[in-house]
Amino acid sequence: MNSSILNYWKNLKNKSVRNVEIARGILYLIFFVQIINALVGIYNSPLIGIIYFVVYFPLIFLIRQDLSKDFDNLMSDDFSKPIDIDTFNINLKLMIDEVLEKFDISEQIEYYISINNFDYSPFVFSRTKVNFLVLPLGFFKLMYERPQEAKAILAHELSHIAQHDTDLTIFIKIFLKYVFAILLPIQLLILSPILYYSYQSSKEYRQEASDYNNAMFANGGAGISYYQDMISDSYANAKQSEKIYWGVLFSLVVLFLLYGYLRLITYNSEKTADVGAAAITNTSAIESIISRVLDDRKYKKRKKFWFTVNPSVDWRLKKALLLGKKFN
Amino acid sequence: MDNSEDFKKLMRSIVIEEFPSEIFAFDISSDELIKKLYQDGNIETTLKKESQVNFMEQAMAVLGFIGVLISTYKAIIEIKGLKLKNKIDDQTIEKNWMSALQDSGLSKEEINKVVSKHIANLSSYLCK
Repeated sequence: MNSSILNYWKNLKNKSVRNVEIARGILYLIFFVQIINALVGIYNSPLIGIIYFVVYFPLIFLIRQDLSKDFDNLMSDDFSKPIDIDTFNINLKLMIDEVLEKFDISEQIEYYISINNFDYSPFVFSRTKVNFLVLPLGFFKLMYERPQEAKAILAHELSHIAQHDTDLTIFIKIFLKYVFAILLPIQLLILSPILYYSYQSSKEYRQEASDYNNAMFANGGAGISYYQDMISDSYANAKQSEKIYWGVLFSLVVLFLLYGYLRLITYNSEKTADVGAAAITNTSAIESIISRVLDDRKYKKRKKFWFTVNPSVDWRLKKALLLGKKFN
Repeated sequence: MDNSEDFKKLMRSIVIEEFPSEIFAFDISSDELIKKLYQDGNIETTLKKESQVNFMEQAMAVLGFIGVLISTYKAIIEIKGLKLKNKIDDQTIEKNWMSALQDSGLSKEEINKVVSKHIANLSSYLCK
């Protein structure tokens, strides 16, 4: 059973690696386009350019800061220690070696233990092509009580390294957090007077067109030149405002499509990692871990944001049950 | 209270018997945790993480020894205070320890088990 799941995982992993590269490219493109936008903005309208620089560029630094948070916390934390995986614990070493061999992972990994982290689940992140696997204290209890589940969690995390998405999923989360929580509200705040002006101009233009019509046909053509001048000014204003209006709508649609796409990437990423974990252990180990996480979540009552990109635990449990049916 | 090595030995004997699956976690963390406990008198403040809600509750839910470690330390401080006033006997030690362990997340049965098995070790630790 495990070899067929392993083959299934390899297929998913290859697709995942490709999709992750594409998503990475799209995100870099967005940054590039924004920089061009800002420069063009400065050239055409200094105000829009300044807004871009004031609002957008500090976000890039905030995102960078957020991305390195895990690493900085780990390095500055008295409670985190690097460990030599060859000598630290033989059971752990055997588990890790088995997963690395089956997943064919050759990337560099540094191992840490975190004494002030009582979770069961380790976590991975990467920085400058080095991957870090951080093992919390609870994991060592799990390793003794339910070794299969511990191995499955470990395999899930190491699968992310094989999928090359350790930094991307964090990046996506942070990107969306800033876009939806900061950038979008600020832009809407700035654009709402323009949208109001667009609405007013269109209304004014319609009224003037109606007056013009009346002047042409009802009053025997008196005062037509006056109306013509007024209408051509109003028409230009209305057209300009309409452009902005459609531009904003288009940006919003693109943003929500992007959100859906990035969500899809993270859902696939988690699903692939769960399949990897099942390939190393079995599907029931995955089911019981996810059920346990479900109970744990209820206990922790973690804050959730509506623009979260991670799949829900219920969704993951459903997928794990389907996987069990498929391969059992 | 500066005999942290003895406190660690006392705690290790409790962990081996009552929380055998946590012994590895205890061995890799006890030096740091006890050091912080002796320095600050309170692990809760030194281990507090901003990102997690109910951090200590979660810690105690995952690792039973954390609650026992903190509660026992608090009981020892109280008993040492009573000792200075010559108000200490075996029953007082037991009563104070049991009352402190009620905050550890253990059930009544577990508390009774821990106290009845290890009260002699705690008493001998307090006599040093």
